[in-house]
This record gives sequence, structure tokens and C-alpha cells, in this order.
Amino acid sequence: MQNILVIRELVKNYGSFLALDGFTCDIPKGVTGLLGPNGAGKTTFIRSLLGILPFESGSIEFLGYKLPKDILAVKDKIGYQPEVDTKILKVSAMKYVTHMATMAGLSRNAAKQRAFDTLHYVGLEEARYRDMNDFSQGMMQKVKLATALVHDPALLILDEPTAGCDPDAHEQILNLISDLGSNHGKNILIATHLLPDVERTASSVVIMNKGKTVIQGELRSILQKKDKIINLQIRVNGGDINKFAKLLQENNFEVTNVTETISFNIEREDDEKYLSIFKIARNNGMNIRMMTAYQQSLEDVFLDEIAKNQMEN
Amino acid sequence: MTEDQKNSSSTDYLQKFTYRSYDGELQPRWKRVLYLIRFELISTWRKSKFAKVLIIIVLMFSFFSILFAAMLPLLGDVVIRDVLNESIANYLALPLTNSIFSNSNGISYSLGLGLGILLIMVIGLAGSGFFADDKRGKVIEIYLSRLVKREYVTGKVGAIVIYINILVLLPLIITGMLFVQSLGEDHADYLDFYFGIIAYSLLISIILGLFILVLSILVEKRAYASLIFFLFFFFGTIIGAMIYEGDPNNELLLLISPSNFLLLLAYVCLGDYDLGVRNNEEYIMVELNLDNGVGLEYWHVFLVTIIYILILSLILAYKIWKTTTEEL
Amino acid sequence: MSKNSNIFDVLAKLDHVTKSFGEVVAVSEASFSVEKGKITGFLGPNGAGKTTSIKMILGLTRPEKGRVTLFGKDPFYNSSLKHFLGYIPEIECFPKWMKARDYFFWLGRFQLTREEAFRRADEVLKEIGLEDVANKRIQKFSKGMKQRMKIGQALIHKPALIIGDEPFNGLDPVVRRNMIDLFKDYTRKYNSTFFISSHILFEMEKFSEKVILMYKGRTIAQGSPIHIREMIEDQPHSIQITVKDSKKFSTLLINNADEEVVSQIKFQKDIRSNENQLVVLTNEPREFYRLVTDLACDHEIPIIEIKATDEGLENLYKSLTIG
Repeated sequence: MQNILVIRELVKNYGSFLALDGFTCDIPKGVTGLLGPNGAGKTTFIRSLLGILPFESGSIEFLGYKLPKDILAVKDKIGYQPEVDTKILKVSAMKYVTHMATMAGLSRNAAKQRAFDTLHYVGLEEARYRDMNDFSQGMMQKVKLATALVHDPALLILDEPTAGCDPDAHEQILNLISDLGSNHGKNILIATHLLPDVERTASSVVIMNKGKTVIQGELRSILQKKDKIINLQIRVNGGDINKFAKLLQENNFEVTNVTETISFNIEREDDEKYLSIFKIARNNGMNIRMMTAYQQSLEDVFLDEIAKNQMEN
Repeated sequence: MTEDQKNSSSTDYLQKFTYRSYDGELQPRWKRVLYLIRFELISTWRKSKFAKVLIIIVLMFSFFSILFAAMLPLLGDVVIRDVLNESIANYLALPLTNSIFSNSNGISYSLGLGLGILLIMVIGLAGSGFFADDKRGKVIEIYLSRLVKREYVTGKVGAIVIYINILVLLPLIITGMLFVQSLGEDHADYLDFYFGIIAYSLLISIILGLFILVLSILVEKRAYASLIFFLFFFFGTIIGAMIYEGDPNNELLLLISPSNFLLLLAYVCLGDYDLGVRNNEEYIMVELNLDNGVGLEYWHVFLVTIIYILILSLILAYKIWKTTTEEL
Repeated sequence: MSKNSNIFDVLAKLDHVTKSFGEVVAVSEASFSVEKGKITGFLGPNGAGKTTSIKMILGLTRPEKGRVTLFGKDPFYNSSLKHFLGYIPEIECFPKWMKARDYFFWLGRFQLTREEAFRRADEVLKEIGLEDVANKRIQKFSKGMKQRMKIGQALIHKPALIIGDEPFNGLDPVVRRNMIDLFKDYTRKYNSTFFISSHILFEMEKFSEKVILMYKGRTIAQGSPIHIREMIEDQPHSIQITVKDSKKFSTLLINNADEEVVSQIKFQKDIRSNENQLVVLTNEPREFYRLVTDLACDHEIPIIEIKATDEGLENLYKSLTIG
């Protein structure tokens, strides 16, 4: 997979505090989650990439451009959605996005048209002439997203894009991110603490801690347990759950837990075993209403890796 | 398909309503700075109702200069240039003690009302938010994700300099031309007069502009910046007057009062080195010559101007280049 | 401690409560109860009526219709009840110039003796992980640290009921997990009850023993997440089946069911594993499950996975509110 960002040994100090300690990673095309505890260096990295803060040593390569010498070209190709709410007094959403479009290099007419387009795309068509200072969190996030999109950059950096949103806005923004990533070829880097958002939209992740990369790679491979044995959870209709648990045990299944669901172990590729479970149910007048593997969530992996990383240091 | 159908199908299309990409050209970078200047000028006009009121008052009073212009030919035996110079110089001055006059005859030739205090307030109110509002609204980061620091600063400085020039240069040039016109003189003879006005206005806009911008970037709220700006001018003038009165023989002390400094700068730009200062103890006008090799000289004024500009620029540059993560 | 000796099973309750502000009806015939010793999640979008409901429990405003009780009494007229409450607000609430330990100490002094206040201040600082910055000004803290301070101040006096308004806002996953564990500790050690209002549905379902869903002023569901799931599983919903030969299985389904049992079939692939999947919409879930088991057994088709697609509170919420 091609990489749009290649970072090598990035070092950044704030006085005596080492924010980036030889940070090295590859960001591939598509949607990538940038994760890490507070203070891990995510914001510092983003600011170095945008040229807002200089870095001491290391290299950043973006679409063939090298920082810091090509910073002007790089800025024009990145759209940034900051975590904080951006407010300008007495300015409507439309004016704000238009103005920021001109700051990114569009002519005034092009800026107006693009602002109109992107505000519609994010779903703010009615509110776009209202004063931004009255907006709800969901609307604010959409304005910020529109601002990041308005100059059609190759890379979008979204910092907590759904923070503070009510469920509807949250859903809409995630859909927009998925749409931009899958259907419009945008590369997106999402920095967030809401890991299910990343599970839903991203294809790769980078986990950072204390200025270094802890683990990076395709989401699929990071989440998949490599073990041969997986843990299934099951619920049945038409009979008592404890009875079914006993039946499973009698058939040599390793039952690990029984509460409202039964947990038991099974070999991954053993189709016959899967089928036999259904047969056991049917033979006893029951049917299966749920059977699913316990999925390791991104949060579990994240906490594991961070804990491991803390112990190593 | 018929011939008609084939032709029409070549222009037909179906495009879903979704995100569109942008293939247009990007503007040269200096144009972005211009857009920023434009935006700042428009929003600063919008932001303060009080400033709008003050500007209207200033404009109203400026019309009185038309009256004064008509009065000029009636003044009789006076040095015309002195009258003109003093009127121009007093535009931004505080009508307080130790004002500096264009000659030492003991008569004040200033035509026009002392609007200085109002305009200082307007400038303070207008410029105080340039950085303070951006810091509060947390938009500096977004700006810097698209512009480099020097472009961002240039935009702000450009905007305030243009703003102040509009408030200073326009009225002064118009007033100056009205005066010359009503005197029946030839404008060509007064080109150095006009040039002096332009130079004064530019230097004023840079000094006052940089000062309010430095205040704007140092404080948290725009109200603090405009307040400090105004108080500095007001109390600085009073204290400066008191210090000078303590030792009237030391002409250099005149530079301390901001109002007097602006007056001196005006006279120097207009080329009038033959001035007078009121000595309050003895109630007489004392001669103040800026070109007699003694005491305050004209080049002192320029030197101090340059030093002010350098110091303010350095402070501004330092604050911008060293913005901490919090401030962003 | 004597404060907790007045034991009610239901610590706070809304009983057919209606509250409006002028023309805007914020809460409309809402009923729910907060039970002792549990962590209860309070979910719903902005404008659902959560904040108003919490304000009524805190005694800051009264209902127009219905009854609100806190520890069995009317909270509006019994402000002494607030001694037993802890509140984690959404907005910042500190005098910024104060140091962390001092802040906790002085808050504690409202109800505790000097020695107790000292002890609790240090204890809570340790519990929220801020013992290293006990002597630093709160003003200098990061967003996450300030959030933890907000949590800490609600716990100082070990109240019987802690009401939290988005308490995990801005916390990274590690700290969030620690705070959740802390809450669970408090329920075990001090029998505390937590009533947490949040947007973050996935987090709530993991540690809440009970959730209350609110939407447009009405309470639409109450119960443990799994129980709520089960209650709607008898209603029409979609089911996802992972099976290698999806074509064959889908044909079998179509041939053996009417449009009520199988009303829609969608073909897809799992985004992670790329396995074949069917998503079936059914109006008769019980019939459908029976059919699946029968067909799998009769035709020797191994089914790798079967589950309702609206897992999780997010989807549950969507299904209860939209259409």
C-alpha cells in the first residue's frame, strides 16, 4: 500500500519537555486513526506537519514534498479540523468558511462557491448564514469540517471530529468521513479518543505514546487474534440456557462462562463443530438466536499496548 | 438510436449531489495577505459600535475645518505656513499644557478642534482585537495552517496601518488642500506641505499601529488592550507634562509626553523647526528651536521614532514566533 | 457513616413528570428511577430533557406535573438533602488560582472535620491520579486533568448519590477506563450510586448496570442494556448471518419462508475478514430463528455467525427513535 506520509525520527522539544522522541511512522492512503493518551505527542506532530511549529530534527515526507523546505506546498494540500471551537465575532458560518478558503489560496468567487458547496455537503445548509457563536457542538464540528474541506486538500487531519456531538450529528459526521474516504479518495487522519469511531471508519491505525510509535498497521490485522481457538458467545430460544450449556459440555465443548449468554471455546476453522452446535439445539427443541465470536475491540488492544509500553519504560 | 437521440445524449449527464472536487487555480500568496487585510478592515469596522459613533463625531467636527478654511484670509498679518503647520500638528494632540506651538509669539494658531483624544480612542478600539480576538476565538492555529507567520503578521499590520491612515491622512490632506485653496495660493508651491502630511500620517500609522498590535497580542481581552492604549496616551501626556515642568530647561524631556511627541513628529515632517513651548511658571512662550545645535534637535525626534518602531516590531516578532501551544 | 444510614432502594425518581419553560416543553410525562448501588446511564441527544431532569433532581427547579423525589423527599424544598449529593458539572467550576489539594480541602471542610478533609483531599487526589500535581494551580492543568478534578470534587464527601454530566468528556481511553474502575470501586466500597448522563453510548453500555433512554422530552426505555436488547428483539429487526455459501442459503430461506419471516435479504462481505454475509430483515423473529436452525441442520450448512445487526446502544437508540 502506498504511503502518503513518511515520518522518520521526528524530534521536538518544548524547553525541557521532549514531546516527540524520534517519532517514526508511515501513514498509508485512506483513513487512518491516530491514537494515544493525552500528552503522547499527537497535537505536536500535527502542528509540525502543518508547519505551525518547527521541529528539531527528523524528516517528514508528504506526497513527495519534504518538510520544512516545501512547507508552502504542503500547507495548501492539507485541511485541518482542530479540536477547539474556532470563533470569530459576529461572523456567519458562510463568511467564516469563505474567508478561510481565501486564506488557503482561492479567489473570492471560488471561495464563495466552495464554501456554499461544502456547507451543504456537511449538512448545514439552513444554518450557514447564522452567527457561528450560537451553534450547537454538532453544528460547530460541521463548520470546522467544512473549513478543512473547502480547498479540496489531499489530506484531511481531523482532531476529535465528533467530540461533544449529540448522537445524530455524531452519526452524520462519521458517515461523511466514510464517504470522503471511500467514495472521494480523500486521505484522512483522525486523532480521537473515541475508538469505536476509528473502528468504524479507519482502515489503519497508529498508536502513539510518549512521543514514539507504539504500534501501527492495518486495523484488520491488529484486531484479529491470531489464535486458533476463538471464544464464542451464544444465546438460544426455546429452552433454558443452563440446560444448553450442559448439553454443550456433554458434547466436549469447553464452556467458560454462563450468565445471560454462554461463552465457550471452539477451533477457528472447524466448520463441522459449528454445524454440530445447531444440531444439538435442534435435537433438543431449541434454536440459536445468537452466535458470535468475542471480538477484541480496538479499545482492548489500545489499553493492552499502552500498558505494555508503560511497563517497558 | 436516431440521429437526434445520439446528439442529445452527448450533452446529457447525471451527477449525484455529493462532494465535488476543486481543480481551480490558487492565488499568488501576496493576494492572500490582501484578502486578510480586507477581512480585518471590514470586521474591525463591524466589531465596535462605540468606535463607529466616535468616527461619526470626528467626521462631523472635521467639517468645521471648512469654516476655518474660510476664515483664513481674514487672519491678517501672520506667517501662513505656521498657521497651517500648527493646525495639522494639533490634529492628534491632547489640548493640555506644554503643547508645542509653531512659533514663540504667544499666540495659538491652531485652527480646528482638538479631536486627538477621540481618534486615539477609535484607534485603540479598532486595533485592540486584531490579535486578542483571534487568540480568544482560537483561530490562530487555523490561520497558520494556511498562511506562514510572516504573512499573517503582515496582514494584520497592513490592516491597522491602512485603517489609521484612513482616519489621519484623508482628513488632513483634505483640510490642507482646503486651506491652501481658500488662501488663493498655488498648490504647486505647497507640495512640501502635502508631502509632510503624508510622511507624518505614515509614520503615525506605523507607530500607533504597532503599539496597539503589541498590546493586542499581549493581553487576553481586546477591552484591556484598548484601555491600556488610551490610558497610556492620556496619563503619559499628563505625567510627561509634569516631568517637563520640573525641569523646563531640559528640552529633551518634551519627548516623554505622547501628545507632545506626536506634535513634534508632525512639525519635523512638515519642516517647521522654529517652535514655541509654553512655560507655565512664567506664563510666557519660550522659544524651541529644533535646528540650533542646542537642546532638542529635529534628528532626535527621528531617532526616537525609529527606536520606537524597532522596539515594537521586535516585541511583535518575538511574540508571534514564540507563540506557545496554549496560546494557539 | 450516618449519612448513608437512611437507605432507600430508589434514591431518585421521576414520576410522570412534565416541565416546560414558557412554550418549550422540556420534559413530557417522563418516569424513571435511580436505584441504589448501581451505575445508571442516562442517555439521549441534546434537547432530550436530560439536563432539565437532572436540574429537578438537584432541586433547582420544580415540575409542573408529576413528582420528583430525592432520597424519598422533594428536593426543591429540602435543600439539606444536597449534603448527600455529589455533582459533576459539564462546565468548569474552579477558582483557577487555587491549588488542587487546597481546593479539595476547602470543599471537604463544608462537611468534614479538618483532619478528615486533609485525609480525603490526598486520598481523592491519589484516586484520580493527580497526586503529583497536588500543589500546582488548577489553572495550569490540561483539559483531561481538569476533568478529573471535577470528578474528584464530587467524591470528596463520599456522597450517597453522584450525578455526572458528561463526566468522561475529553478523557483519553486509559484515563477513562481508570475513572470507570474508580466509580465501580466506590459502588463497592461506599455503596455509592452513580447517575451518569452521556452522549457516548458505547461506553455507557459497558459499565452501566441500567440505562435510561430519553428522547424529545420522553423516556423511551429503562433497563439493563441486555434486557432492553431482548425487549426489542421480539420486534421486527435485521439479523446478520455469516455463511460461506450465502447464495445457497439465501435461496433456501426464500423458498421456505413467506414475506413476513423473510422480508428483505442483503448480500455483503464482512469488512474485516471478507467473509460472505447475509443481512435479513424479518417481521417474525422467533419464526426466523427457528427456520435458520432447521435449514442449517437439514442441509448440512455450517453457520459461522448469527446475530442481530443492531447490537449496541447506538443502534438500539436509533431503532427506538427513528421510524
